[in-house]
Amino acid sequence: MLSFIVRRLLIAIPTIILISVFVFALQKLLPGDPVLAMAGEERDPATIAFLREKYRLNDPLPIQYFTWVGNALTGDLGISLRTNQPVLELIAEKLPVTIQLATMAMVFALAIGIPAGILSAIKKGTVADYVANVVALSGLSIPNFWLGIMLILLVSVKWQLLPASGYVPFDEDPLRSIQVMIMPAFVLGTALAATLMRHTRSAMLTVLTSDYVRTARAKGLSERRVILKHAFRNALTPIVTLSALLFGELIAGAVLTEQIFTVPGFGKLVVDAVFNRDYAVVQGIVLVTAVGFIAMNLLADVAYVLLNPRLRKS
Amino acid sequence: MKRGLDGGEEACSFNQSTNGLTLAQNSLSSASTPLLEVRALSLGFGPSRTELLKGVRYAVNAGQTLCIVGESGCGKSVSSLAIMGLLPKGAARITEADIRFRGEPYDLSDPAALRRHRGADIAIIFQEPMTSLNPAFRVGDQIAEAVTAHNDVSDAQARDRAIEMLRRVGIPAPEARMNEYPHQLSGGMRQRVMIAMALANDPALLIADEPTTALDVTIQSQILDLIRNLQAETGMGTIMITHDLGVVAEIADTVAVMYAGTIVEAGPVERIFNDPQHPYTIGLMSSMPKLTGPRERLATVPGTVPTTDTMPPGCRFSTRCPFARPICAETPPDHALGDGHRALCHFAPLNQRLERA
Repeated sequence: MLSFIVRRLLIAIPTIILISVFVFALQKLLPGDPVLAMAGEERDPATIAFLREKYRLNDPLPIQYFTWVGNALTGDLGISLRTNQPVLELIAEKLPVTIQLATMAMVFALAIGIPAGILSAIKKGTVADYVANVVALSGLSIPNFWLGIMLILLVSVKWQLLPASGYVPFDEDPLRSIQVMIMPAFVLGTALAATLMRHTRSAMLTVLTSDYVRTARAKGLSERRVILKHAFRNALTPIVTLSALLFGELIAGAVLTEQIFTVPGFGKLVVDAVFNRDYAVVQGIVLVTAVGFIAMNLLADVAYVLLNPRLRKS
Repeated sequence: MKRGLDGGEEACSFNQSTNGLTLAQNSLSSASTPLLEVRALSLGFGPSRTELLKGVRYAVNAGQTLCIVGESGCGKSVSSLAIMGLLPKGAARITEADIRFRGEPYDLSDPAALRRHRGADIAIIFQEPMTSLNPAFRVGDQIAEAVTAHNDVSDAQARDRAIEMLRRVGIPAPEARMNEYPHQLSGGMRQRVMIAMALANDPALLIADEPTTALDVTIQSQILDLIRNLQAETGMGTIMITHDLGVVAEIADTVAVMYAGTIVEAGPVERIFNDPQHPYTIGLMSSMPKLTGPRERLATVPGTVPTTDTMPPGCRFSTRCPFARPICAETPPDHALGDGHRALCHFAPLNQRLERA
């Protein structure tokens, strides 16, 4: 198992290198010059030259790349061209918010998607299956921003049950922090729940017709045990893989939802950085997101092996 | 025609056989009640009005082996899965079911009762040992689970029982094998595990659905020997579903020949092999290659099995039968021939009737 994780980590290294090259190159290819933006209205050539020198933008591209990577490895992702704050600090500030939001959204998605998927698989072709599918399709089709606004109108404005927006750090007041984030997490979670439900349903349908499920029934086990133990355990593999990928996507930011509920997360940081051509911040965010994504993939692969004895080395 | 009606009672029970069974086997079959008696079983799939199984009827005694033979798709497996309550939910419509188990009515419409029987006093093993075990769990746990499903025992007791069962089915080092996963075992070993699981609760009846079809020839005979030995030890009745007449000759006490969802002929194994009366059985027997005698082209039964839409209301074999007369396609036949031998043919016994017809 340990050797598998080590091997898997080694495979991740070239991926991360490629991503870093890609992120760096993409930045250079984008139109717009941050220095011009910084120099202000006058565009004084001396200032521009000074700024170029300061941010080492006159170096050859490979040098710039290696300088960036070298700094990144020591935890220095550069300085925001706009706010002069270290990029790492900006990210460290927003990341916990986004992780909390993503985790809560994932809880909603799993709690709704998996039971609904199992139910619609075992009730295939019945009214329950039909209803679950219609609800799932609606969940996929309803835009997040619309659902978010409707929830604010209904839950916050009309019923005054939950705050419409804001953010309370988890370590300050956990209960309040969760309360504030319920609505945005729910909005994000429902869309994922629909995807998860569809995948759970199809995985369960495949597994339920398998010979070993018939064997489990032939032993005289209760239907509950047949489905939740023998069938679900084998349907879990694609669900785990999908969940990890969905979680990775959530980390990458839920721009619209964060905007609507004014959650100070990653999404807002990305949008602001892109609009301001704040290269260092965009690069840092993409790098952190990519590494996070790879980490989630790694976790999924490890879970995959844990769930599937055939992949375990004896 | 009258003969069929008169002999009906006699025909549906095989226990009066005078075919030279061993004394032990005869004494196990209590005087008049078969272990499992399927008096009538009919079922259909989907919207089609024609039933896939039509009036299936057979019986098996404790300690004896009934072989159900027939070609693929004739309903051999479906009938046994129906008895186990293992047909896919909602797919099959059971239109007629009159079944006795140990002389008691056996209700196919009561899922809870079926579940209490399943794996406890009626067990089944399947054709595909490679896929019939759950790949995610250790084989020992899968056997132990069968024990705890029907008995109020501790996990340790269930585990001990699982080890004992693995030993009984001839798996070496059972304590170590307990902790292995199905993929670590060969096909023959997996079928042994399946048998261990099926027999963990000492069932009175074992249904073996082509248990050796997917295995190597050498392993096949080992598995057959194993089933036979365990049967001798426990006195359970066995229904062996197969299309292999060699297997039938080796292990059957009684045989039921199935064609297109009906049992066309049933009786003691010697009678079926030496004196087949239904034209389909005759065709089946002559399609079996022989090691002795002159080499000839193997006989085949011409034509194909009718589909549910083209199934004649009378004898289902009439579309392919060389002896068919107009009456065959219209009226379902049934004839008892004595000594537990029964054939669904208007002209049985053939040698006498055909001359007159």
